[in-house]
Amino acid sequence: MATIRPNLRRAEIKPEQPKRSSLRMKDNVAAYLLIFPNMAVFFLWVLLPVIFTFFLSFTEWNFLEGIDNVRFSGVDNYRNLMDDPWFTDSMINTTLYTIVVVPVTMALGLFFALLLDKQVYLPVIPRILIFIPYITSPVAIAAIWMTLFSPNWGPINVFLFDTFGIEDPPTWFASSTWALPALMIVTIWKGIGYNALIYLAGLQSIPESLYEVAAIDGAGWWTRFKSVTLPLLSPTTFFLGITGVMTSFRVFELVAVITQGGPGTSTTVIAYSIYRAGFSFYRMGYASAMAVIMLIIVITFTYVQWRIQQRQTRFMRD
Amino acid sequence: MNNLSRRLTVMMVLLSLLIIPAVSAQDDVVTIRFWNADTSGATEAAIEAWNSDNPNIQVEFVPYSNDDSGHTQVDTALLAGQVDAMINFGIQRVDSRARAGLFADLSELLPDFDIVEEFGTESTTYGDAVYAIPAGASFFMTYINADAFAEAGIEVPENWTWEEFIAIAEELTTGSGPSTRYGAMLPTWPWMDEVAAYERGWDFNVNVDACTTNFDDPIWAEVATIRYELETVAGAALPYAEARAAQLVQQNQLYGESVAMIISGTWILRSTQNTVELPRDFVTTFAPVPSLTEDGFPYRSGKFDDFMAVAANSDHPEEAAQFLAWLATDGYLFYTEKGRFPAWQGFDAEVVAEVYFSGFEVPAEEILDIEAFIRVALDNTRPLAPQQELLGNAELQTIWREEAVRVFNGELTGEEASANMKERGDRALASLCD
Amino acid sequence: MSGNNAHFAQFIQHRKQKNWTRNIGDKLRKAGVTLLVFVFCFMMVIPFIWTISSSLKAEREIFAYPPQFFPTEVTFDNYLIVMGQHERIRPQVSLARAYWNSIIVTIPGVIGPLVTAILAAYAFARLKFPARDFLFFLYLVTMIVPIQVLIVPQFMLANALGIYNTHWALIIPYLSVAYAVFLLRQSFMSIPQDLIDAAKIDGAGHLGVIRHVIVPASSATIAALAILLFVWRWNDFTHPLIMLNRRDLYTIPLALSALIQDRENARTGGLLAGTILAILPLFVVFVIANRQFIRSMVHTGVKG
Repeated sequence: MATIRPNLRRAEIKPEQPKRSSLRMKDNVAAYLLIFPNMAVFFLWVLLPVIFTFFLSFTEWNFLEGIDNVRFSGVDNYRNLMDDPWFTDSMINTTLYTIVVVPVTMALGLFFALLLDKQVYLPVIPRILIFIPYITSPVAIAAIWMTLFSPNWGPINVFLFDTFGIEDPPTWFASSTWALPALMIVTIWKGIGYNALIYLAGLQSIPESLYEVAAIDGAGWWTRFKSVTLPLLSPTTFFLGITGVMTSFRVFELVAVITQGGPGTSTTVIAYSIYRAGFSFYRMGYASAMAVIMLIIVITFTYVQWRIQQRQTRFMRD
Repeated sequence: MNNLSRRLTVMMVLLSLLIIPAVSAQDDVVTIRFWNADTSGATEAAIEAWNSDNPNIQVEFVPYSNDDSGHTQVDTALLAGQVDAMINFGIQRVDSRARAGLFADLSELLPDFDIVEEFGTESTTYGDAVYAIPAGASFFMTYINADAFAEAGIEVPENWTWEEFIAIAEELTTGSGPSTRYGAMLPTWPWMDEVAAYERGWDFNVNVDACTTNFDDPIWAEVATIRYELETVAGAALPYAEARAAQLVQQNQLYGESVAMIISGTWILRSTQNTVELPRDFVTTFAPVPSLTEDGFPYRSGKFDDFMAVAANSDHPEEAAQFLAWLATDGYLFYTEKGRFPAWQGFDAEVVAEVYFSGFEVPAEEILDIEAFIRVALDNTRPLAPQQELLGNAELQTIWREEAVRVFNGELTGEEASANMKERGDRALASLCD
Repeated sequence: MSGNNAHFAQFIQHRKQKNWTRNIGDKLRKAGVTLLVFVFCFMMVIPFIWTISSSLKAEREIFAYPPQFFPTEVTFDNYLIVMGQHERIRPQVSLARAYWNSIIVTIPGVIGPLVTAILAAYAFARLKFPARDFLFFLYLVTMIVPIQVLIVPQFMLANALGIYNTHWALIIPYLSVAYAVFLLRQSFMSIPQDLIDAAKIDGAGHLGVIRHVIVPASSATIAALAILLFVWRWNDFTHPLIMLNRRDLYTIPLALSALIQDRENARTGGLLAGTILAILPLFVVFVIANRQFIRSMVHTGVKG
């Protein structure tokens, strides 16, 4: 299983043994030349903007006024964030969205992985089918689901009305109660295929012999699932958990295209708040402060997950 | 080793070539990049006419979308110097760009053209500078399916209050479930703040000196509650949130006979003309926007809407300004033909009406009630309200929208929403004021 | 993953052997399971089927009540409209142009980062130089930086470099994809040192080693990465939104979002047709290369 853990140690074992210092010098130059094209763009396009954003978060700045009009404002932005409902609501919404979307997608992904793991004819077809939503662009997905969820007698509400006789179906993206759940449904649907395929790979790497041993012990399907499958899948689960949280925290396109954060503040998520504060309210410093907080949360979370996974892996090895 | 260095050097040179900006050729002919969100075809026609008369000032139409992402693109294009002239929709767009110094002073570029005098408003004047020509105005009115009223035995009123409007809309609502025909449909944005503006004036919602909002004034609860009563209590109009989520277009609802009347701006007239895409077998008649009191609104129900401006960093500001001065006056008739109304005081109402009717595919009297049209759409007996004070406008608009929508669907009472708006609005202004 | 491959092959072999001894009953059961799996997976694509079917309907039939799943009369009008080929209805953007633009930015957007990442990953994986681990750590950290954090500075940079509102603004930033460097480094580290030493004895320099040893040995990973890059570039929305402002430069996702806003002209049918057209190239690529693709997702897939 690939992880985002940098495997630094393995490379260190076999360094090129430098014989003379001039040769080593040459090799260093070669190495820097090799990384230069990538590094230059990386510094310019990623690292510099990150540093600039951090700087901006301590200023007040309307980007329309140009870079000369940046005004230093200390920690004002961070102080104001705490009692701004746009920020607090978007933190709550993003957290809620993540808490629901990540585990549900993983559970359904595991369900589909178990299905795909069965011996079937033409196994490639279900794999293609299940994966299509994942490769589809969020904008196209937004277009499709806006139409499907149309409160004004779109296909889903007609289905609810005709099949279950629900006279008063939810108005989905039009309702402050249902808009966020509707977004969650769309995201889960999009993510199932990815989770299923990663889980499938995990399942297929579990040695059959373990199941056979369990079967000899008289374990039923559920016991085998609980005592063999789930524990052996736990690295996969951790991996999907990390990537899932990182993706959920960044959700933007669906909100920007479908709901623009509404109705009310019911679908205002953090990435959308940042975009709006910067580009609609022209408060780039404030937007940057939100961005920095978002960055800190994502990095902290990734680090904690990584540590837990490391401990877990060590535990399993022993 | 040398080989490697050489190849990498070549590669880097190639890479750096990619980022050298293109240098454009200079000509005697000046090209004006004109940004507009118009989709009616009028802009293309106007530009064609201008270009053939002015071979040395050629105008190029750059379309943008009149939505959030479209405006982000306009902002960045303005900063990057890729705009010469443009039309802004709504005074708040002009305000944020003018304050940031993105627009040129038109009183300098057009010394012989007194914009305040010609258009009768100071809304684009900042100190001595005038940053935009308020070329077009849009007016709100009720577009009515005359047959629906006749079938229900209701006479189209010349004036009405919201109470009367809701009662009539309720009577006009027929059917249920998927085949409901609603009595009415209001604009697909919260809009009721504009009703408050027709009553109190556009400069009403901010106390500039105290740096606070007027959101605690009872009129905000009143107008929000009206829409709640119409859409949620009476069920007599297509609910705001549904129209929004399903991206319903007002003219399609009216001419597809899914609603019996709509309240909307003069731009709908373009669809009223269009009997090819929107075929129908009824006549459109008109009534004013329902008023808050028996006496009607003190102000005309509309606002200046098309604001023409020249970018401060344009290479050809004089030429761009000349083009706009033409487009805002004689050139505006191209828009009028498609249903937009000029704000220039040099036109008289009859000419405007004549040009407007000339754009029809079938004789105008067959598809609309001309008498009602002239009485309602061209009514200039009342003045347009002065424009709003724009401090923190984008934030205040967002706050109003978020809270009003919760009133419309019954989550909050008007009073609760008004209290929330006051608290949030004041805080937003406080962080802007110091 | 790689450590399990041998195991996996053995396991497949084992299953195949068992297959020979299966009787009719087993085959029937397999057919039953196949049906079940197909039904479940088919449910996932119902929204697409509905979209295709509705895009072939006349506008007023899409939301007709009672609803019909299939069009009464198939019409390609909606496709003509969004491709700008309809005689009367002209939406504000044409997908025909957007297709071309997407191709223009996607091809260098795949090749560019692949080339720079192969060079950099080789250095990170097989060479030792000062600050190597620190630099690589920087890559890792910034991999998780959300795009919204970066768009304003990136716009200012693009503007300063004079590439704002050109397709270069979508190509140059992507010459460095941290994730690609990370992924290739993992792959390059598993190549036996003997192979590299052998090439060096034959007189190959670093570029020679990369071309004759590293790239062939990691071709599967590189191919998988190429497909991933293709999907990301093709679907990219936020970057083009900030970097482009002219309709004739729009890529597919931007054009599609303009169609969503332009309901008056594009209408629902046009929007749905546009959606299908936007998905089509990815779908084709995916069907052709699904083995590579699934492999790549399985091996990697840090990014969403």
